Amino acid sequence: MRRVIVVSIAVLAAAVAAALALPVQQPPVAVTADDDIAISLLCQSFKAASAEVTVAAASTGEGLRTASLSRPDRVDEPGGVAVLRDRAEPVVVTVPRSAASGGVSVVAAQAGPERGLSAATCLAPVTEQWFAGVLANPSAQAQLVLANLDSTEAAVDVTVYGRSGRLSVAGSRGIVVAGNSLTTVSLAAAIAASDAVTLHVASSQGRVSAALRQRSWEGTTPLGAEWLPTAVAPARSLVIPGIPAGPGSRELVITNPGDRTASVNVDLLGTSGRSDIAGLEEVEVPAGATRTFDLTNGLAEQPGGLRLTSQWPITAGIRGNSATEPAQRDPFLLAALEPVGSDGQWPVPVGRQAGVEVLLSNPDTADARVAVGSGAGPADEVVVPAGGSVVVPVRAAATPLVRVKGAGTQVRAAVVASRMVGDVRGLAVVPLVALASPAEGLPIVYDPRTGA
Amino acid sequence: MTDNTADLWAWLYAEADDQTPVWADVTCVAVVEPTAHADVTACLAALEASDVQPDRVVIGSVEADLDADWVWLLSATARPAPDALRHLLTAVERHPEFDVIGPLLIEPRRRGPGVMISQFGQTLSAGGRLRGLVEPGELFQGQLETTDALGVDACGMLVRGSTWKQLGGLNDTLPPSHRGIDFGWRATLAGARVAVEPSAHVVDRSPEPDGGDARAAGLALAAGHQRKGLGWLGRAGLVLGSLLAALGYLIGKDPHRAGDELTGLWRWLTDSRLRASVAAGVAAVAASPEALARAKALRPARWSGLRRVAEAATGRFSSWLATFTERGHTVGLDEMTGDDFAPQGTTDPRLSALLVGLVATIALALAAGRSLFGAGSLQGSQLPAAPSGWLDLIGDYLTRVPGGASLTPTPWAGLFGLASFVTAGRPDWLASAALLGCVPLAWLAAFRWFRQLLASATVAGVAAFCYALLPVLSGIVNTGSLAAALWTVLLPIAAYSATHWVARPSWRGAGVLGLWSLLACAAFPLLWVVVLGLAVIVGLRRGRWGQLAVMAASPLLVLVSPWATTLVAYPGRLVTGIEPSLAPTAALPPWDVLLGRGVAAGAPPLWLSLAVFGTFWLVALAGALRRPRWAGPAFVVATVAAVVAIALGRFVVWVPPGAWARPQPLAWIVVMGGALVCAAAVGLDGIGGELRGATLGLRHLGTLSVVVALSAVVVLGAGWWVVAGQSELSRGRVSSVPAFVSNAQVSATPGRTLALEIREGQVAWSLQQDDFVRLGDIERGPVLSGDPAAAALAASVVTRLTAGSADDDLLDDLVTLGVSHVWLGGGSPALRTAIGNTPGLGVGTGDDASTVWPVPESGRAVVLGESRTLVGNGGEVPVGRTVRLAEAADPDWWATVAGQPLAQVAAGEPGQSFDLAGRSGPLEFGLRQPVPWWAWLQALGLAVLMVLAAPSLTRRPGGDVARRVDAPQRVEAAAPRRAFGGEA
Repeated sequence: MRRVIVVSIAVLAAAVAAALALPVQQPPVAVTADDDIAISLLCQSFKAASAEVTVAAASTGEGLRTASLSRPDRVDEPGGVAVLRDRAEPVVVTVPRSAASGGVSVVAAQAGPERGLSAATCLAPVTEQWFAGVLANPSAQAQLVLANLDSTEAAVDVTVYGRSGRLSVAGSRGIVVAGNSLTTVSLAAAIAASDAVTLHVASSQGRVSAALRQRSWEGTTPLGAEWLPTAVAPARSLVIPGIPAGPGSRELVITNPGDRTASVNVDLLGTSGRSDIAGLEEVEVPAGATRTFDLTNGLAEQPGGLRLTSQWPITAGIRGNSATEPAQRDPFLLAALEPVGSDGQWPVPVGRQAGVEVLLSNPDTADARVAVGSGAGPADEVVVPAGGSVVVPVRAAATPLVRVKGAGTQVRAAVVASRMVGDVRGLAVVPLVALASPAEGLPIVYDPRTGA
Repeated sequence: MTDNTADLWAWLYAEADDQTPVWADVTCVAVVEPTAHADVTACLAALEASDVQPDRVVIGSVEADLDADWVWLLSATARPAPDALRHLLTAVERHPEFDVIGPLLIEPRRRGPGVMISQFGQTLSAGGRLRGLVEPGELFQGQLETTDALGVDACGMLVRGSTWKQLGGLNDTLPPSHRGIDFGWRATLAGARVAVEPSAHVVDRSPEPDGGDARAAGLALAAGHQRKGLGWLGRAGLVLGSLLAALGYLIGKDPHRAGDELTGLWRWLTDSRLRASVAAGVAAVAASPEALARAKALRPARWSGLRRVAEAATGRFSSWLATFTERGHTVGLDEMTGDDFAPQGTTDPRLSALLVGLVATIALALAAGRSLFGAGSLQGSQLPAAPSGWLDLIGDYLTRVPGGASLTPTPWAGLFGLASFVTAGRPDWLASAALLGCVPLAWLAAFRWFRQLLASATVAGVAAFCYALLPVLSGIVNTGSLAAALWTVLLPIAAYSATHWVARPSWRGAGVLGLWSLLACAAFPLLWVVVLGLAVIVGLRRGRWGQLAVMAASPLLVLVSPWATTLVAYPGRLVTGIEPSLAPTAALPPWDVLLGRGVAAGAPPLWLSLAVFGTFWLVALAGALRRPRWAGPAFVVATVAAVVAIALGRFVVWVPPGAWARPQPLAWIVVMGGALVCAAAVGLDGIGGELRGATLGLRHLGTLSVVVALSAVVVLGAGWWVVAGQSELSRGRVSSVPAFVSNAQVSATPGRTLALEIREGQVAWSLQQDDFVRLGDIERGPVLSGDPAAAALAASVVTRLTAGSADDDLLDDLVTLGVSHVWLGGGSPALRTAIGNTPGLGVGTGDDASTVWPVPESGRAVVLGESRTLVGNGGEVPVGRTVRLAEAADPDWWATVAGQPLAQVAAGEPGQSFDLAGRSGPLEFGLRQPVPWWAWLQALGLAVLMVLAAPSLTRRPGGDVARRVDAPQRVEAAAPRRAFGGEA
């Protein structure tokens, strides 16, 4: 019997060893039959006599479709890339959720109100958006374009944060946007603030895709137009990527929507690493107010990004232009962004003669590895040093396809496109944030006890 | 001068010189009736030895006109005591009113002093059963006195001569056992007094009367003396009583007495001569009202029969309890030389281990479950809320699952529903008792078995406690694994029953093991292979194929049933327990199995498992090496169970209602742990006695280490049980949804709720209907499980809702699924907005915790036409195109409108549709249910098993299996000792 005991122990040991050595069978992953789940994006477009408006959308998956906002009959776009020109109204782009997709609207004009080069990313409808650094006065027109992609009505409230605090603006509550339509709100007359303000656009019913078109004037001379990107919701730590190199003014706009004064630390994420900006190491923003700070001297025409940290939630953006000479000047607008995301692809229809760069900023304390590709070629791995920025040139093309994969990193990204548009040193910065559904990244599992 | 030596009490004993017995002048005739079984010689010899001789002894049958003052009736088998007649005559001298007096019938002399009562007087119950005035088998110690009786046994009866003539003697058509009661009863009705004198002793060696004849005689007497007004009702009552008694004896496994009941009943009904003779005897007596009342007072009181049954049941229960109590482990001189009443075993002044263990485990269970008492349903990660009533479970068991997914009701749910009868029909109470009380129950069952194996009650108690902690230490209780908890209790019961059956095979033991097999295989079907294999092996060695067939075939009641189609379609269910899809799919590392950690969440800390099971393995190994022959097999069983548990956990299997699941090792861990405890206890039992008096050495140190380690195990295990052993269970409401949503599920136009919840970094979802998912529903198939297309559609809807696609098909898909509300628990504002923007969905209401969106005009039954109309069963339907039921399509669905049947149509989408054909009116629909003949068969089989397994009315001959006793201590000669003892 002792022999049997020893044998049984040996068998048990062998079973344990086999269990450790052999792979464990895993349950098959349940694949939902809806890999063709679509997400709708809105790409800004309008008819302008003196400007060329181009909408480009791309997707690595099948099912790319486009439609007009008011007529949602979708048109299939085979080939994975769609380039549409001079559409009179915004374009609804439908892309598969599972693919890397994105869209960009580009406006190029040598003269007129749309002078210069401006670009905006196509966005999905959301419930709230922030626009930091809006100028709304006789010298600066700000048009808030609210587009409703759904068939049901939406209602929107707009809150304005000025230099002295929240501003009371007539007609800013309960702005109704009918289904499959857009509503444009001109803010200059309503706000009439000499300094930059920040807008908080929130839907109380339904959802909209909001865009803010900023046009600058000097008297009757247009100084350029640009779309102001959507900033992240107020947070204690922000990153503003995409500060282009070169001359021109740079202004930082910070809004504190809370009820306590915020002390904000400003760090430059430059190509040489993290550094302070002289005179702007720490700034204060009163409760409910928006403040503007000059970055021009501090940045010294260097590219990079900014990291802002505060003990209270803030939002921010940067206003700048491409040249010191007014005749050559083209404004650009930046905003604090979310991390670039796991995988995104953006077609930038700026033309073959444009210089296109991807500007990556890493606010983290460890180096980040990001894959950057252009066109159909393979993506190259780029190391973005901790606290620093990297500029990655993009191969020239009529519509260069920029692809960035930054899964698991805190890297922010933006595309800087520059080209001469007549006499204007056209400069446009396109924020890059991969598409995400509200439940992105959350696995869906069947649990019969849910709700019970 | 006073003579101080004189006995001052001598007057008490002295008889007057001139005092002569009164009976000296009376004639007393003793009649000795020969019998077929004995001659009169011995009786005549006993009469010769009497100190008072009868005047005449007549040998032969008794004549009715026998002339004598007193007639003393004896049979050839009677052995009167020498002073029996004297005492009888003294009694009638003292009580001249007595006309009939009988002796105390005693049993033949037994070992040792003392007189055992055989019969003291007679009476007859309302059901015709002959009873004595005291229970036979009592020891006579002078506690009885002269007592009035309805009758006395004819053997030894002393009758006044005039009374004898008046009543015409005995009724010869009655069997000898009932002639005395008949005579005494007629005498009482005639105004005579009948009594029984305890000081007069007669030994009656007559054989037991024929049961059928005795029963027939009793019925005849009872019927003959019934009130005239009762008529046929009285006789019908007697028939019914006999039939019920026969049934009771059958259930109590006493077929002989049951046969006597039926035989006696038949004879009474067919023997007209018997009935006529009794009736004639009664009719010949003119009874006064006083005599009738007196006779009635001498009969047993109403409900005395039920009281006797209760006393018998109490007695059997006490006998069953005795299987747990400890007895002295040595045989004393008194027990060897004394009589039946000599003290047995040594008296242990310490507290009973049973009492201590029971009180301790119950107290710990109450402390551990302190937060789980109260209102609401008990729930755990693998324990859905139980249905509100046992009939719900049974009803679900009898209701087929529509659709073509081969899903059927589960037998274990039906059995659980039946078992809930003992908890007042509340399945939640049964589930609570099973989970919260499994440790005390397991301890009790294990203690009873270990007492059979071990000499020391203390060791048995500790071993049982170590075993009873297994469901806590393995995570069974924390996860609410109901089947594994019950398995922990049933396993030692099976071991005990199997041990007894092997020692003394019986049909009752076979019934117990058969019932156990059925219950175990209903939860763990794979066990049937083990049961079958063991039955074949044992049968080849010992025979008893009939009883083994009962054990091995019982599980077929559940395995060969409609459930078999589910087992074929989902073969993985054979290797899992109940509700297998609730078990986690993450694989456990093999060392977790060895350490008794059956689940990742809910198990104790790793260090505790290491301490406990590490000790179990080491001590079990030591025990197995010390006593390889006795403890070795248990150790081998433990290793086999561990290997099986590790192997099963490497795979995923396809289980109902259509999911991949990983077999849990919980039940195997219980087997492994139990076998380790058994090996340790049996292997090391008696080591204390071996070491007592021995020279201090390594063995002492080793034993001390084992004691310390086991003490630590007990304390740590019990401590963790109380602190966190049941922390994962909760008691509360069944659902999280608002009341108006749950009301909608059970309304006249019921709908479903699509429940979404953001938790633990994932989106969990389900479809809820009726009273939400309950115990037994998941394996049976929750909502729409019978339709794979509908299940896939539901998954698609969830994916699209949470993605915020807001496509136009979502609303139609929700209606197809019969969803009337979408409920979201948690979630970001963006997600709520994304869901709320679904075209056609109603306005959402709620708070930060949850949001509900109504789906307009949607439910489980809708009428489709120009618009969509929600309808209910029995409600009016408008004119429309089709009626669509959001149920799994099945040919057995039927629907009628205004009584007109509707034809099924194929809709090309999930659900069941009917063509309205322009009709309108009251709508009725349902699912045709087959006659559940198989359920009746199962119920019959279960009833037979329970009758077989029930305790019998009579105790087993020879008592229980002998317990192991300690070997007497040997005086060792001075010789070198080995470091470790045990068998060579």
